Amino acid sequence: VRAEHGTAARASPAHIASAFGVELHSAFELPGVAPARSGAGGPTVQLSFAEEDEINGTFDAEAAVRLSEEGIAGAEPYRTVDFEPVAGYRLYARYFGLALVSADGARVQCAPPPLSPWRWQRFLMGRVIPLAAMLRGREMWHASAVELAGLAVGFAGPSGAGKSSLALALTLTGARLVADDVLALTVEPSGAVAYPGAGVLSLRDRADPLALGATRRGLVTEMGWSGKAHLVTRVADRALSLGAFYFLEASDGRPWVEAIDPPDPRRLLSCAFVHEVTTSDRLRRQLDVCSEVARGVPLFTLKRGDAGPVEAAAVVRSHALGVLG
Amino acid sequence: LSSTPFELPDAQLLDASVRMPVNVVFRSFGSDGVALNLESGLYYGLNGTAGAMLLALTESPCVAGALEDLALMYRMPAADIWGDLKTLCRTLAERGLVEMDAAPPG
Repeated sequence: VRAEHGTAARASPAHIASAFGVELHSAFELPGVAPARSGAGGPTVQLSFAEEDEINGTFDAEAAVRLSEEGIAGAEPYRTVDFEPVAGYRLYARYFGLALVSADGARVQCAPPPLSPWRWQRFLMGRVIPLAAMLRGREMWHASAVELAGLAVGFAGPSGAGKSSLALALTLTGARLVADDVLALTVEPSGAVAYPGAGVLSLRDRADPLALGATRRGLVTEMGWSGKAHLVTRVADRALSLGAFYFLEASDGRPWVEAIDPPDPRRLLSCAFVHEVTTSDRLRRQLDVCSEVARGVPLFTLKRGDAGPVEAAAVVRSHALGVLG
Repeated sequence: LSSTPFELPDAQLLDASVRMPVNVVFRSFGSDGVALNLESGLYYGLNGTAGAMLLALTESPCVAGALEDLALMYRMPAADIWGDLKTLCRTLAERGLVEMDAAPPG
C-alpha cells in the first residue's frame, strides 16, 4: 500500500485538512478537501495507510459483530461494517478497500486498492470519515447545503432527488457549497451549526449543462468519472449556523416552496446518516440535533417541479434570502 | 415501597410518583414531542397534549399533582382530564417510558 501510494504511512501528518467538523491529520493527500484554517480547531482524526493484513490482524473477527452489509442475496456482500470493541469499526467496500476506524473515531487506517486516490477516497469521504466524525461528536445527515447570506441552507431528499444538482445550480448563483450528500451538524448555544464537508459534488450526467457551465466559469474542476462526474469546488471556509432547511419532493409544474409547520420529527430523524452506530450517546445526540433543528430552523418542502435545477435553485435562493433576512 | 407500574387501581395511581427512566429521553419538536428508549432504539411520538402530560407527570411529586397542574394549564375540570391522564400513564408505563412508584400504604 505504501509503495503503491508513494507515502510513508507512519510519517507525521503531511496534510492537515478540515471536513465534517473535524481536523484531518493525514499521511496522504485528500483531493478536494480544504486545508484546515489556522485556529479552526475541532476534534482531530489521524489518517494513515496500513496493509490489509495489518488491519485484519488488529481486528478480532471472533469478537466482532456485523453492523451492516449490502449486497445481492447469495453473493459476497460488497459493503460491510463490523465492530469490535478494542479495534473499533472495520469498513469494507469492494473496489474501495478496507478501513479501520478506532472506537473513538480518533484514528483511521486505510488499506486501499491500487487506484487513483480520488477513486478510493470517495469511500473514505462518503463513509469512513463521516463515521469517524460522528464518533468525534458530530451528527451526520444525508443532506447537502450551501452558504447563503452567511448562513447554511440545507436540503435533504432521497438519492436521485437532485440535491447535488440543486447545490451546483446554487453555486452558479453565487452561493458557496457547504456539503454535498453528507452534512455534519452540532448543537451549539447559538443553535444548529453546519460544517463544511469535502468540496466534491457528484453529478449523474457528465454532460449536464450545469456542470459544463460551472466548469467554464472555473467554479468546478472535474476530478474524475465513475458513472458520476465528481467535481471539485470550493467549500465554505467555516462552520455556519443552519438558517433554513428544505425537503426535496418531486412534483409537476413550476417549483414552489411550502412551509412545514409543525415540524414532523420523523422527517428530521430520517435525515440521519451512519445508521450503524446506535449507542445511547449517539441516539441521544441525534435526537438533540433533530429537536434543535425543529426548534430553531425554518423548515420547508421544495416541490421540485419539472423545470430543472436552475429554476429550482432560483426559487430556493429567492425564498431562502427572504427567510434569512 | 411497591412498584406496580400499570395495574394500580385509580386511587393508588393518583398517589403514585412517576419518573422517566435513565434510558429514556424526551425532546420537544415544536408542539409535539418524541420519547426515545435508548436501549431499544425505539422512538415514540407524542402529540402536544401527551407531551405536556408527560412533563407534568415527571415534574410533579405524584399523579394527583400533575392532574392539578394540567387542570390549571388547560383551564378544565380535573375530572375531565383524569381519563386521558391515567390512560397515558398506563400506556407509557407499559412501554417502559415511565416508571411509577405507588405511595406506601397508610
